[in-house]
Amino acid sequence: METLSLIVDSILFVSLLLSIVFTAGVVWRVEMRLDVSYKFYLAAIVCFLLAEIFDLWYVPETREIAILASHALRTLFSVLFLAGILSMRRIVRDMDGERRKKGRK
Amino acid sequence: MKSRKQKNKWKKVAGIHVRVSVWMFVSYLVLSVAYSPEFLVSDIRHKWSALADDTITITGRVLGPPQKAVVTADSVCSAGTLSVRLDWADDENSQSFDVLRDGAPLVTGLGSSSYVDTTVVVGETYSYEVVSNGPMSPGSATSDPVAAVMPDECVVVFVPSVEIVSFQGKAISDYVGIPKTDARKPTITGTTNIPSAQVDFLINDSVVVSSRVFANTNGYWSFRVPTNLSYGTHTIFVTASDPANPSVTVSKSLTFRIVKNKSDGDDDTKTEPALPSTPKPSVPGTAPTLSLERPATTSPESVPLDYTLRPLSEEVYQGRDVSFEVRIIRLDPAYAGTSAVAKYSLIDHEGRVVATSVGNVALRSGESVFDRIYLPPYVSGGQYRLRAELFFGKYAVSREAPVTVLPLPILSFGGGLMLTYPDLLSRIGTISMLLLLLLLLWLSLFLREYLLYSESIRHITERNLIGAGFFGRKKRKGVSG
Repeated sequence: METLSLIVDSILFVSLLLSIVFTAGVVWRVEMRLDVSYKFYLAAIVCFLLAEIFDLWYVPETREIAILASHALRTLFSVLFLAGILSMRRIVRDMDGERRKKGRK
Repeated sequence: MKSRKQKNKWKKVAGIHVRVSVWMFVSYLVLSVAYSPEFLVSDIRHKWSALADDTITITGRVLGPPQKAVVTADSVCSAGTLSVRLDWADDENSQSFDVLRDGAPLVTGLGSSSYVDTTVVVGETYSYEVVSNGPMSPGSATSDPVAAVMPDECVVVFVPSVEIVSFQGKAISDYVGIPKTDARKPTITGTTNIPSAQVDFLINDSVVVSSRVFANTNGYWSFRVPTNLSYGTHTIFVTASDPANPSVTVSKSLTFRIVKNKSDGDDDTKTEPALPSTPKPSVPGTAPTLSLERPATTSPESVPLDYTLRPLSEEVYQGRDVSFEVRIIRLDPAYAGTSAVAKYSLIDHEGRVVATSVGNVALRSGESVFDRIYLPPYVSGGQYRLRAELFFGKYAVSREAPVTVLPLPILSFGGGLMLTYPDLLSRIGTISMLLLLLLLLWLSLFLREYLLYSESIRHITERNLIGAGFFGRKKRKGVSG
């Protein structure tokens, strides 16, 4: 069980690091609002990675601070991820004609 | 030209290697000194100390290593006594035997190849192992465990007993006449059939030494005299009693002799810090009448002071304080108000003192004193004993309590894998190299991604997505208009 837990944690960290690389690659390649939405995703992944790093900190006296920081970063991840989703959603809604501009009807 | 370029390349690589190595070494030194200078010393000693620690005994014949014993265990219920008879073959390469029951010591320092365990209970199953100890490497050999199943019924008449088994690591039965030693703080071990018994020790010397330890669940106890005894003959009185039922008590005594070593001194005197002299009573006019004659004490009750020692936490992290309470239970009114010199020590499983502090305690019946010892960060994790010794008048009364030292964690990787600060510092080179390699690998992925991006001819926008068909010009089938 301990080995399994260690393997799962390792996969988590590797996945997050790869996600950062590939999301940054998309940010370089796109423009306008696509660029903005992927920047939100990139910031969210970085916050999540920092939260996982804080979880490793186990010094007894500062454990509570580390837990608080980890929770705060996870909250920030969810907010930034939501912002990215909303941004992408807006692009899609504009592109598929749902949000027609005034005067074009 | 090519070879010069290659030489320059290797020079650069060598330069980077040297810089990285120096940086890691300096980081190790700086972080270790910041953590604790003593940690740096102990870690370097641990890394570079010689491996040859074995003591070689030269005798008239060539000894071999101790042999692994083949143990037989028979449970016997006879004449109201339930016992387990253990037997194994003699071994000329072994000097003594230790018996473990369920993993914990039952008796140590046995000279013979058999033992009768009377501290057993009906219906239980016990697992026994015998450790053969000898002078030749590897020094010991442990037998395979052997189980003994007790009968479900046996009418047992419980008669409390206590046995003194060994003196200075040698079985009492192996001594010819009075046991002798040049160690002024001898060690004795024994066993009692009262599990977790309270075992009190009393020695009448120029200072009356009174100590208390607790036997383990097997009834095994071990005691090292806390203060230097004078040269000559002494008698130690051992009293075992049931903490839950003080009326169940049994005593035994052992006479031994401390003889002078030719080197005229031993390590004990060198390591003991100088104690302040016992102060005079602080309240004039009410000073107790202290007899100049040695008091004739043979039982713990005749010692004018009884107290308990309790660590406030049985588990303590490295680099933290071991806090404890000394509570005076009984005090002869003649000594009320006097000041006793208090010495507190933390002792490892090998009997070495790793931390100590000295102070004064005002003796008042029912009084509680709280104090602490600082635990240095370089002290390794494991089981320790906290000892308190109070010196007043002609008496030295000591008590012990177990304390577990835990390594201070810094990182927890989950699944029970934890890195402590000393581990981190000790392996800083390996960890730094690993992190550097991972960083280089990650940066290489970034570089690859950037190189791929640099091959692109346009940036993607939303209009490109429409042109590529990611957004349909017509509504999907089945969607109402």
